[in-house]
Amino acid sequence: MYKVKIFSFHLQRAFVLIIAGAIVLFLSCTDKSEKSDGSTAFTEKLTCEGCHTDQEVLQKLAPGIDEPPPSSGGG
Amino acid sequence: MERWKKVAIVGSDGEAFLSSVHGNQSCVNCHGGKREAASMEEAHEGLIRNPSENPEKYCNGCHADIVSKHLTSIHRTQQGYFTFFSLRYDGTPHGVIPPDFTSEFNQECGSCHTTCGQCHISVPVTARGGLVKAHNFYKTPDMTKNCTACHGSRIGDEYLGKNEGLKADVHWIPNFKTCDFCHTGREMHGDGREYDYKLQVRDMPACEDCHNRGQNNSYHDMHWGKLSCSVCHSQPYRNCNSCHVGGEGITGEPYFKFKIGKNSNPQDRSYQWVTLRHIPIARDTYSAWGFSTLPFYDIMPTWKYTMPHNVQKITPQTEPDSTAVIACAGNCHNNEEIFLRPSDLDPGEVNANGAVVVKDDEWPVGP
Repeated sequence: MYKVKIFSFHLQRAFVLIIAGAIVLFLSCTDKSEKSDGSTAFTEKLTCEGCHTDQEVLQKLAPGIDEPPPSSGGG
Repeated sequence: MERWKKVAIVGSDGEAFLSSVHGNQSCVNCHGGKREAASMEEAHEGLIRNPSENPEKYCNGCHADIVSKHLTSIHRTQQGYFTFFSLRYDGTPHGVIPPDFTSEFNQECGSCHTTCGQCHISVPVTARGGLVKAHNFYKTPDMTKNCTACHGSRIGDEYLGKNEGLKADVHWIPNFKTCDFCHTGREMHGDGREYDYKLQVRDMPACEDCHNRGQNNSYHDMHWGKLSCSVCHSQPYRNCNSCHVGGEGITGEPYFKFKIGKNSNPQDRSYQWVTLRHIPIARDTYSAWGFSTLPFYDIMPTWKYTMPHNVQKITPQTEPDSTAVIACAGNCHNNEEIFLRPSDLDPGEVNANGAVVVKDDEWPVGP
């Protein structure tokens, strides 16, 4: 009886860990994934606002610096 | 600037935009593209980056009056370039502009024209773009992110005092007297009239709009109306040489000079004496576009009427001497250095500047 209880306890722990892992994996995959060519594809369709209001997504999609040219023309 | 920030609608500005009249519309109404997509590339298929390039379609519904006037504004049409090219190419201000010129101009220089969005939403395209306030539409353009992003090398640097050894303009008070203090929306948007070049624009500001002759000012009494205000109240300013199309840009070194000359266009401004700035036009400026020379190059001065944006009450011209009296003779009248004299002209520009250069018998020598 004792061994059955111990087994049940470990089974419950493993089950909880599997569920938690699955949730973490799901959350990390719903936003985006890297394609082989380096571009980013979403595993589900996103809207304009979905990207342009999300700082993390934008930083992933548009990395780097884009400085204006030195002021040399104009009036 | 970080690239992502240029298109970000985040923070308090982002929230403000999303609850604004413009932000309540669907993005694709103005920008095209696909509202729902599985990749950035797919979302941006058919994207219209700058909808207000076509204000009649995208802005007219609410802003019809401004749109209709702006269509003829020099800020949009860049008509001054075409007028002066026509004068130097066929001798008339409204000659037939060769299609090749128009096409090349639109490709290389045309991106400098304004659109509604490049003043009221984002940094201009020529300065690499980017939302200024998370896509909020703001009534008054930002001085550095909009105005001097295009008008920086001369006006911006002069006004802000960025030229070494020279003071900022006396009107420059941060966050108060920015460009819109003098330059109104009406002037920027246009009044619906078609002008050949900027000095014809009726709504341009003038010093005399705010300043009058004053009392007991003998210098004003003597010079008022004959000298442009900048003749006495400007510091040296940047002059340019040798602009060449075809990607070369300005190939000559800019230099700082202050030059007084004759006013060749009294119909625009009635002063007799004005400040002149060398402009970067050369006979072969457009050779890369197939126009090896400008047959009527000499029809227009290459030293052009200018209004430097570095006004000060006390300048080298108005500096009092040890007796607290402005040394008229030393500062100006006998100071050949500050007048545009024949010896200042490049040999190839002598004929072009005959109307503005100060010859020996015209030079105001004396007390």
